[in-house]
Amino acid sequence: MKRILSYIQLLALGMLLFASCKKDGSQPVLSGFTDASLTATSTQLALSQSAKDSVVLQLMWDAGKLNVSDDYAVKEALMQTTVQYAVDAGFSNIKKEVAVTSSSLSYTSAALNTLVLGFGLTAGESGTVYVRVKSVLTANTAARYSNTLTLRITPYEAVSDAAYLYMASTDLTSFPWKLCARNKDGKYDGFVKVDQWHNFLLTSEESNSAGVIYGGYPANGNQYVLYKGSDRWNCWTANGGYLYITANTNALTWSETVVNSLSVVGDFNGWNTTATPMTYDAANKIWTATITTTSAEQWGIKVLINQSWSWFFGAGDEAGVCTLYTADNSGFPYTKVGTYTLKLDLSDPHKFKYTVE
Amino acid sequence: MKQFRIIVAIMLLLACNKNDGATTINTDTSGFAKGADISWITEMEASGKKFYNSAGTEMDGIRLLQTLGVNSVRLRVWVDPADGWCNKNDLLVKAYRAKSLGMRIMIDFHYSDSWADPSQQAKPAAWASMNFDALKTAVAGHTKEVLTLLKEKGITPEWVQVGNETGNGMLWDDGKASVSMANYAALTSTGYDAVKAIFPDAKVIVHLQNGHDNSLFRWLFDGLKANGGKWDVIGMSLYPTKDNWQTLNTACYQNMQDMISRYGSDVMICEVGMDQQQAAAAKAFLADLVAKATSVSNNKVLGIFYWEPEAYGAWKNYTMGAFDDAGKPTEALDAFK
Repeated sequence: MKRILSYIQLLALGMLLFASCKKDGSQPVLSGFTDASLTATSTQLALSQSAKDSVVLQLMWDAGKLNVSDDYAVKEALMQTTVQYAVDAGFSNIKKEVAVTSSSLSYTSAALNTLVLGFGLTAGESGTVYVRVKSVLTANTAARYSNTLTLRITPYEAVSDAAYLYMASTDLTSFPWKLCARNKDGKYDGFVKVDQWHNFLLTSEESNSAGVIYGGYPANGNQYVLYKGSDRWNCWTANGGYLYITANTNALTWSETVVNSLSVVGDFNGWNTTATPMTYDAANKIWTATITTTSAEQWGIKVLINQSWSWFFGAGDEAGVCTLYTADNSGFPYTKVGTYTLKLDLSDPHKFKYTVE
Repeated sequence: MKQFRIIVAIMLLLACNKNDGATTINTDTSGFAKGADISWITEMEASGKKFYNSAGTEMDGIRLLQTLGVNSVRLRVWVDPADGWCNKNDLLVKAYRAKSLGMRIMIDFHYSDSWADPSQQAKPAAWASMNFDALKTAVAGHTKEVLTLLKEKGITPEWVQVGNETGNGMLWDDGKASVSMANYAALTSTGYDAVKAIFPDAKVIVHLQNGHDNSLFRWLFDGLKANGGKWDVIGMSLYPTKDNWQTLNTACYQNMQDMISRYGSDVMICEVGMDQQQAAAAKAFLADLVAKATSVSNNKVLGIFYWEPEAYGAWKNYTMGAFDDAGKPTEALDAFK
């Protein structure tokens, strides 16, 4: 009898449990939202330019895994994770927040160097950076924070690989254009927009007391020489218009090439060299073109100069930057789908920048 | 009454467990391994590559693969690579992430500073001038150092590869199998023992290219066996085209069965891939290979790993990934669902 009673009790209890769980089930419960645990592959770093492209610091964290009761699925983007950097342990002044979907971040020496110099660390001196991971579910719930890591980092002074020559007015009062030797090899180039018969000088600084001032000194009828003596002439162009200018301070020569057109080519226009010309916006010194795509450009796009397949802007080595090529190379990425405006800014030849808006 | 309490406890578990832990994924942590080698992922992320699910939502690439049915990752490790990627720290980061997601892990020792494959099995620069005894010590030391780093983080690999695509041995020329099978066997056993010293339960894989080439496998494993070389699992690569995958799968299937009957070994398909433009053929190839592998009795074929499926957009000029140029998975990995 006692045994039967036990089973009845058991049955009743079971029904109660079933009922109670069912009731809970009408209000799904989210669990697993916890403080992340953060680790670094190194916390003492002396950065060097010679190893600038090597991975030097990796942060990894476990922010937990969200679970919802009642077979409800968790929306992928529900939890927002950011990595926060500060130079004070209390994070009263957050220097940078990086939104992440992955659960690690990797830095090369160059990337970390740029990051911490931006925080105000001094090249050649060990400085302290604090980092933590912040997890947020919704705006009205409290954020969760990981442990804070203390990183001691010695950045290096980033030496620019670029050097400029400025195209000055003949009275050395205005410097509207510049040429760049991107590899500091004395071979400068750039794009300028000037009138026909424009006279100019090339200077090493934007100053009338620049250390080096090149003019011309035509010999044997050759106007394309550079000469820095006090009896210099002006340099001039008989062409004017939008020009590609080179200057070689080793050979003491310069050159000009008239740019008649820039045109965009890609899958979107069947690689047609005339279908999508760019328009020059003189006020903003940029070139623009309207592009309509139906899918991301598989091979990227190119901007041809004078419709040439061997003189064009193609793949650059960083986002938003393209490179001027004189031999076959790949295009630069273009992933927007729909109708957008491509803007190309050639005014600083250190980096030929583009945007898609 | 004691019995009663136990029954109530069980009922409590049953009653409420049903609704607990309902996530979007249930990773199978035993049985057949559906894997992906994702060794490039941290470098891809650092260069700005992003990954999107089929709905277009940006996701963690490893988690994205998990939602596609991948339950295991394979990670290569180089000794002292020039730019640091795939060194022991980078390996740790990826292994830690996979472990956090509840995935199973294979470690792939190349014993080189860069790619080790049938065309090159160069010694790490720091080992180049060592005599053979010192070389064995270096193999053991590197293996233990890397695995200890994982162990300290609570990460336990289920499988460890000693050498990568070692169809003609590794650590050339000392360990070149066609020159000295005895040396290759000694180096392999050294790696095997080093793995077991850190993770006694890990299965050690010796992995060869061309999984369809039975004579290569017989030559190499006969040679290893004759020279006392140790292994637990025979690993294979298979990279067919859309036109020859049926033929290669059939040959690979026969090779798997021959390896199992000839040596009693388990088999793992450590690497597969096909041109990312041929996603439908890749799916058919993979589905057929899964079917063949799982049809082998006694679960002797442990799993299949797709090599670097997340590579896309001409990453390192590799074109056999399983993502399209917009960073979304192709249908190839549907074979893992």
